[in-house]
Amino acid sequence: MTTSDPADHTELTDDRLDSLLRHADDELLHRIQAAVDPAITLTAVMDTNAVIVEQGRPGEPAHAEQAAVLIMRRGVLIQISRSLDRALDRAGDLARVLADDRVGDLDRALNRALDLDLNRALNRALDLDRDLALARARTRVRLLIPALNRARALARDLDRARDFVLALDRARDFVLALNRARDLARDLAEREIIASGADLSLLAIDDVEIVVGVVWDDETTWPPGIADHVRAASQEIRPGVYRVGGGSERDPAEYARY
Amino acid sequence: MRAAWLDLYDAELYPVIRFVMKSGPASLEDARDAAHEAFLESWRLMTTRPGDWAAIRNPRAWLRTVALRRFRRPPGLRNRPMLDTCADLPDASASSLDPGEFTAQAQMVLAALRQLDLEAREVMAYLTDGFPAAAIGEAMGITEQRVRDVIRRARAYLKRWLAAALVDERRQPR
Repeated sequence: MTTSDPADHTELTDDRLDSLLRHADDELLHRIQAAVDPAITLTAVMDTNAVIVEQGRPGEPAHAEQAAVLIMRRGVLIQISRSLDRALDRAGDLARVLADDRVGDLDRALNRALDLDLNRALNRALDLDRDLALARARTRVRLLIPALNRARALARDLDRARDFVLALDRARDFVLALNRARDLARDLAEREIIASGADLSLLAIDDVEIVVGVVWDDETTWPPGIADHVRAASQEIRPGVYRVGGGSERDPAEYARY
Repeated sequence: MRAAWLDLYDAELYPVIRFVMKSGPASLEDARDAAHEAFLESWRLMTTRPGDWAAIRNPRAWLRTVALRRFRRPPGLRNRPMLDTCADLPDASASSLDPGEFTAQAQMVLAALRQLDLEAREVMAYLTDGFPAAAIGEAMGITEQRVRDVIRRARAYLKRWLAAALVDERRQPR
C-alpha cells in the first residue's frame, strides 16, 4: 500500500462521505421546498380525481368530491385576488404621483428637447469647440460650458420621462391583471356549490368567507374548527337544507367586492 | 384513511421529488410531475380500492417506485393536469449546476451521484432516504445481497471521486 500525502487524500472516510451526502440532500430538499407549493399539487390531485368522478362512477354522488375541490379553488383564488388588490392600491398610488404637475413639467422638458434651441445650442457648442481648438480663447470656453450643461440637463429630463412611461406601463399591467382575476372570481363565485352529503372535514378552511353561498344539508360534515361558524352563518332554504350567508347577508358574488 | 393519506402527502411530497431528481436523474419539473402522478395514483387506489391500498406494507417505498416508473416511462400521451410553473433547477444533463443555487460542495456531490449507473443511483437514493437494504431490495425487485454489493461499490466510487474533486477545488486559483 503506498503512502499518500495527507493533504492529497485518495479516498474520503465513511464519515466524511456520509456528511457530504447528508448536506447535499438537505440543500436539495430546501431548494425543492422553496420551489414547489404542496397546496397546488394537492389541489391538482383532487381536481383530477374530481374529473374522474364527473365521468361517472356508479354509487357516488358526483357533487360531493367536486364541492371540496371547488371550495379549495375558491380559497386559492381569494388569496390571489387579495394580492392583486394590494398591487392595485400601489398602482393607484403611482398613478396619483404621475398625475401631478411634474408630468406637465416633463412634457415641457420633452418639448424643449425637440426644440430647435437644443440643436442650435449643440451646434454652437460644436462650433465653439472647433474655435477653441483653433484659437484657444478663454471667452469662448465660458460660452461652451453653459451650452453643454443645458444639453446634459435636457438629456436627464428625457431619461426621467422614459422612466415615467415605463412606470405607467407597469401600472397598466397591474390593472389588467386585477381585472382578469376579478372576472375569474366573479365567474367562480356565481357558480353554486352543492355540498349536500359531502365530507369536508379534512379541508383546511379558516375563513367562512370562502364558503359563502355553499348549499349543504344535515349530512354534510364540516371541519371541526369552522363547523359552528358555518352553522351560525347559514339560513335554512328548505327543510334540512341550508345556504351559508355572508354574515351581512352578502351576495356570494360580492366577495369580489372591487 | 384519508387523514393518514394527507399525513403521508405532507411528509413525503418533497422527499419523493428529491428521490426522483437523484435517481432519474431528473429536472425539478419532471420530478415534480412524476411525484404528482404517484400521489394521484395512490389517491385513486385509496378511494377506489381501499383494501389494496391498506395492503401496501411500505407506502413510502411504493410512492418512490411509482414516481420513478412514471418518470422513466417512454414519451407519449400523458394525462398530466397543468401545474403552476415553479422555479426550476438546471437540467440534470447540464455539466454543472447554477452556482447561485447550490453550494460548491452540494454541486460536487450531486455531480458525483450522476456518475453512478442507474441501479446504483436508485439504491443510493433509497439509502439516503433511510430505507434499509431489505426494503430497498423489495422495492427494486432485487436481492438484499445485491443491494449491499451495489452500496459497497457505489460508496467506494463516491469516496474516490469526491476526494479527487475536493483536491481539484483546493487547487483552483481564487
